[in-house]
Amino acid sequence: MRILIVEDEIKTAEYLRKGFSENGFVADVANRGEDGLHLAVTGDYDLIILDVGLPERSGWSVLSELRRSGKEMPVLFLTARDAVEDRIKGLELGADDYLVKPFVFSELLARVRTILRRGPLRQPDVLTIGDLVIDLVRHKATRSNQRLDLTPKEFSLLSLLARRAGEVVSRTLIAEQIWDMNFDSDTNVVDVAVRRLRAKVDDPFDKKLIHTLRGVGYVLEER
Amino acid sequence: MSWRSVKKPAGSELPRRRWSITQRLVITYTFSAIAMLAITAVFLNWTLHSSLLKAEEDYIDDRIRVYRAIIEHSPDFLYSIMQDIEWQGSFVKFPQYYARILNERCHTIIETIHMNELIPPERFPDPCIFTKAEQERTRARKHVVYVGRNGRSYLLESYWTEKLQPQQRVAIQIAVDITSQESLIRTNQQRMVAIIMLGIIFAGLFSVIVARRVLSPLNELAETAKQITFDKISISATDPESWPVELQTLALAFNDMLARLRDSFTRLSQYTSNLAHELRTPINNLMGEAEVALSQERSLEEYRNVLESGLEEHMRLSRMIDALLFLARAEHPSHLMEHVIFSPLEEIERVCSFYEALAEEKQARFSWGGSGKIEGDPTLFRRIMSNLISNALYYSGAGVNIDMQVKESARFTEITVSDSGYGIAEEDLSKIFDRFYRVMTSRSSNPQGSGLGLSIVKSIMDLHHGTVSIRSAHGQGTTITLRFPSPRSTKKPSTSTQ
Repeated sequence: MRILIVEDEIKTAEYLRKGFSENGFVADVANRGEDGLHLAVTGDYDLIILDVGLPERSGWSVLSELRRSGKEMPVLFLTARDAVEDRIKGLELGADDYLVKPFVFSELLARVRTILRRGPLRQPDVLTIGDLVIDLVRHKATRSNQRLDLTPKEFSLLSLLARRAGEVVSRTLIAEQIWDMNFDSDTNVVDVAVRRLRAKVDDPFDKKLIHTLRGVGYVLEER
Repeated sequence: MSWRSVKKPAGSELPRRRWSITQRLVITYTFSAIAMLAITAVFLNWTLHSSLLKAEEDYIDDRIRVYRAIIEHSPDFLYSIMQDIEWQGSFVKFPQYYARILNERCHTIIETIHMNELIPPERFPDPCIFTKAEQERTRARKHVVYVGRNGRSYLLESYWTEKLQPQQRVAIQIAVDITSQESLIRTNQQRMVAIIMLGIIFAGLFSVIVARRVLSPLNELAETAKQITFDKISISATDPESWPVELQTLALAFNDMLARLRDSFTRLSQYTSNLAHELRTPINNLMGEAEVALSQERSLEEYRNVLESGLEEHMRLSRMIDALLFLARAEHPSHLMEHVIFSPLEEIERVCSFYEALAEEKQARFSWGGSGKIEGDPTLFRRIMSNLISNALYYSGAGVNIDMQVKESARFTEITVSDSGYGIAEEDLSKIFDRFYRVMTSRSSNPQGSGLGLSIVKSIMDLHHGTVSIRSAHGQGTTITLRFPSPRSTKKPSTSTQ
């Protein structure tokens, strides 16, 4: 997967490139809108990460020029302005997603993966991570063939982690997805909920599946 | 007399002139003075004129009555009258009256000497009218003022006698000299004009002085306002007690405004210093941890720890920025919010289910009840409830009871959130909704808190045109009351763009 990062802030561009490279992407960086547009039109990228506030040529202008030249690859906007009008403008111009600075890298990564995954792929009915089997249709989870006794919320939380197995899921995202608390809420609550889930999913077993990434969130994976 | 009525109607093409209050007052006073004086003068003049004329008319009537008596009773009346008028004409330079007797053919029989040159018979009203109807009409008294050839004014009147046997009937014409009366009236008019002129000047000057005097507190107020600067906000308008009532109200409002401004400035500077403090804490942690970590070689695990701790601090900063941006945007009318009618109780249940796990750890108990509807944004309402429940959980000991009640009345829907927690000291209550204001003990109870929770509650209530109030005492729990206008009373068209 080749992605292009158009970002004028050198430090940001650098850590993004590093982060994506380490996650299996081929990442190129352009620091100016003109360069970014040139690269995007000539090169063959699967996705472009575009900063709105670029010198000389804004991200919006880059995007509209890109679309005019017939390039239809997905574009994800990064913006420091989270006024709703700005978001709408970006999406109207044909962006696929936007992320407001400051953001957590894992969230950007997850979103990029989601955009690239979009399409024919269907969610399976049964998720399997190691010896953990989650039947999304029957609302049933087992580990080593032992039935896990989960409350509905705990089941939703486990499914969320499982669907994004291997990816970091932030506390904010968990609060949003499970309890519909789509604002900055008390993240300690999420920690408590995950702790309770762990008590049922991990504690009785030797092999731990739910891991904490301090300051970022949780990840469900076989290590 | 209202000055406004003189103004050009709105939409006039002429550019509207701006008049100062002094100008308006002066013009209004002067015009009303002119009007009053003019009315008085016209009335006095009319009274004088008519009463003088009345006296002369009575005099003429007397003369006519005398002549009539002579004519009707004495057969040689011509002789008697002749004696009378000759005496007048011969010995008096300006005779008080002239008289003339005409026969039925309108020929002069006798008249005062020189009368013909001065006042010809045809100048009199109804000099020679002989038809029956016209005779009737002539009975009505009619008089004419005539300026004779000698420049003097005369009041003229004529009278036809009854038909008498053996004589034919005659006409009596009498002219009374009213020159002195006329000149009296004229002098009087000139004086009136002079008085009006003086009155105008006096009224103008007087109103200028009064307007200046009355408006001087305004200048004082303006002077005071000019002296107010950022660092000298505490100047108050001077002794408004001695001012007129209307301006006193203004001055008191002005002083009130200054007090509020001062309060806002204090809050603003407190806000700034609180903000600086809130920023300093995570940045201090970041700097210190990084510096200590770099001071010597460390294990990979230790570096990881520093980075992770740093990430936590950064998340804290990021959350703070989000909250500040939310507050800033909530002050904007363009803030997009939903306007739907929803059940607060359902939202309370959802928020409680979110906090369930944390509450169980703290052995806290939730309870809720009541009924009612709210019009607004359910997400923002959840945010309010989340902040309030979070506060109730953090600032309380184990086993706290948190009760939420919804009550609907005719004008508003009220939600009370009461807890049996630590409570808030009285001195903190007034500042509890200020941004970043934190009760001294709160930093240790909830180190992750931003100090913005209740500010956000307040700004969301403002967005809903509602109010929030708090009742608390140290050690006696806290009750927060949210008041939303009821959905029925807000029938305004929705401003939502959703």
